[in-house]
Amino acid sequence: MAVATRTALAILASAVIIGCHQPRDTRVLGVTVPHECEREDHASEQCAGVFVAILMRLLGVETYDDPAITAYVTTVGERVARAAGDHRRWRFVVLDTPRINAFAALGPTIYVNRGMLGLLRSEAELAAVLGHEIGHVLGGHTRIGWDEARRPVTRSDAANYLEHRYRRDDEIQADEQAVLLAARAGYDPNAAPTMLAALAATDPRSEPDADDVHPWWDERLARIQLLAATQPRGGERGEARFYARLAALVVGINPQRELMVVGNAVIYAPGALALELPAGVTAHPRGGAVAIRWRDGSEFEVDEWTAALGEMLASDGHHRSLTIGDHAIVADSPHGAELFRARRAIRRDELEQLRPARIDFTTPRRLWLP
Amino acid sequence: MPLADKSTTTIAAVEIVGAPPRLAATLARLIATTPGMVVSEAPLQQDLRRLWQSGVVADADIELGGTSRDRVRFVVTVRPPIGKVTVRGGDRDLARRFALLEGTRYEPTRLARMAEASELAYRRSGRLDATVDVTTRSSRQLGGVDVCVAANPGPMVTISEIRFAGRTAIGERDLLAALTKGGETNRPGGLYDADAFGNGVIHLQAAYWDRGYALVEVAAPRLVRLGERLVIELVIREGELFRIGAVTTNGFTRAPLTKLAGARFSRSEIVEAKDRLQTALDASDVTPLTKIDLERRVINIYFEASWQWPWQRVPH
Repeated sequence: MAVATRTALAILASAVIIGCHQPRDTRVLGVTVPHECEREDHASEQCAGVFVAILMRLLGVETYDDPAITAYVTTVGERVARAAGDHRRWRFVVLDTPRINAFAALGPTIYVNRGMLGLLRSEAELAAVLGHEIGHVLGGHTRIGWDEARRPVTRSDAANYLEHRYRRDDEIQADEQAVLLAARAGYDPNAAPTMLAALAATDPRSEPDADDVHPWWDERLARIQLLAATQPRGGERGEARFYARLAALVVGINPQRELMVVGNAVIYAPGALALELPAGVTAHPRGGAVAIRWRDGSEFEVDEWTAALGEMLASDGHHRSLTIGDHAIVADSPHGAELFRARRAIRRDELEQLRPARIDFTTPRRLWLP
Repeated sequence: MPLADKSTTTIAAVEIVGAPPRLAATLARLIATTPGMVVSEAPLQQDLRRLWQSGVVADADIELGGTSRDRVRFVVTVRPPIGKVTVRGGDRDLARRFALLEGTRYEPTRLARMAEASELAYRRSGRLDATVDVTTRSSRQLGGVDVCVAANPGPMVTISEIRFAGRTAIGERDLLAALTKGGETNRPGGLYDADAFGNGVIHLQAAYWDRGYALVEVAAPRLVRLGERLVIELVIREGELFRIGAVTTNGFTRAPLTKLAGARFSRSEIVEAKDRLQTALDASDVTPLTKIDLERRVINIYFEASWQWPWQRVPH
């Protein structure tokens, strides 16, 4: 994420070179950049929102195209924000990625991945997720993070350790707000611990990572359980409403937007094409990308990026890209060239397998236990 | 419970007391001591540590209960709640961050860190005298704690002058440009950013390395406060001028390097030569290894090239 952040800042800064003589808006990777944001060090909340939008484009993440779901998330989010006494105009964006995550940006804007929505089982749990992110904004953590990302400094190990502790305190505070704001908004405060237990169950790690600013799951769970136990009983869970509003949510990989492996081909639906795997070459999905195993045993990833970044990467000699319209498929290997020579149209039988899966609320959810 | 309890009693039950039921169930899962273990062999101290590390326990102790003293009880006191938070001074962000603590649990070390982080944020924004102090008192709420935060950001301090003592080889304007690298901080009229200043000193040294001063020393900056103005003094020991001596390699042609030997030492030119060599040889890596000859004031360089199969290379 840090590399992508610096790249996004560099791209934003490069807009200065293009348009430095007259104050006019520019476009970077399809995002409108107001002229006042062209200075790399401009620190307004609006410009921060522009920066994050560019970062999203860099990462190849699009907003989820379901206005009804976005409106529902916004309604819940605004209810939680008002419970905090904050009457600013908040923006809630659902991102079209199966990765389970949500994050806060200046603006104030809260981003929630479709993957996170698919993990939840009640409106109260959604309120807890949004309460955590709103807590980051209210606590000023997003502002600090923005300021720090723009300071090109190298710190000592001791200073880095302290910074790490401060950011961990921010996460603890955000978890507290997940409980307190949801409760204040009239939701069941015990939804926050179950939400966290479900989230923890998706973590493949068996022990904490020293670089992670989040406390380990047992500590996070203990903290919010203690806080939830002291909140007034009652509060709605809103399960029926949640199920009704999210019934159309796509879960897992969205084959209409992302790379899929179907039989002996890598399918890219937005470009209506397939890459036929050469003999001796296999593929499997890996976290939103597709991992290709070549004949000599080496592995490389094929991923979907924006067209601009695809062309940039192709010029550095380490990657090959195939550009279709606004999209590019990028392979981080010279083998990509051979792979791209094997492209063809998608077959009818392959199209049949591209129907997205919808959320299934009847499937039991794993909950993490210490 | 005594640390060196040698009881050979077999544990019949393990309990957590003093916490709400759901929390007690979570804390119980952190504990490795189980029924069936012998008391003297059970990991009681480690379990106590795990309870402390949960973040919710203010105090924890172990009791042996039951008529046979075979029931191990972890007696915990959960952290007390924070009642009212009062903030005096400081900006709106600070006030809001501390106000969010109302209703949460009192953790003295976390409060101290939050105050410290707030002070640091102020100092990074130029308020070098900022202080943020936290005091507590018992809350009207039973068993709770009220928190009072007193923030004094102090005046904004700007740099009035940066002095480079001991410089002769490079002009003051060029040194300032190297130090600030086009940034807004650490320049006359700007704010002092201690972290960025360290980076700036490295750029300053690099400016000397590119002009042949391979052993330049820049002392730690001396800060002189004059009210709301700051004067920064940097003492520079430029040292001797060095040239490049022998240029050797691990066997390949030196054609791309012929201009280097005998030239004035320049770090940038050595890096450029390394990159040209890597491209010319299609090497996976070229490492310049330097050796200083203080007597002759030359730096000998040995370029070591290594190759890997294409699929073993990691893109930079």
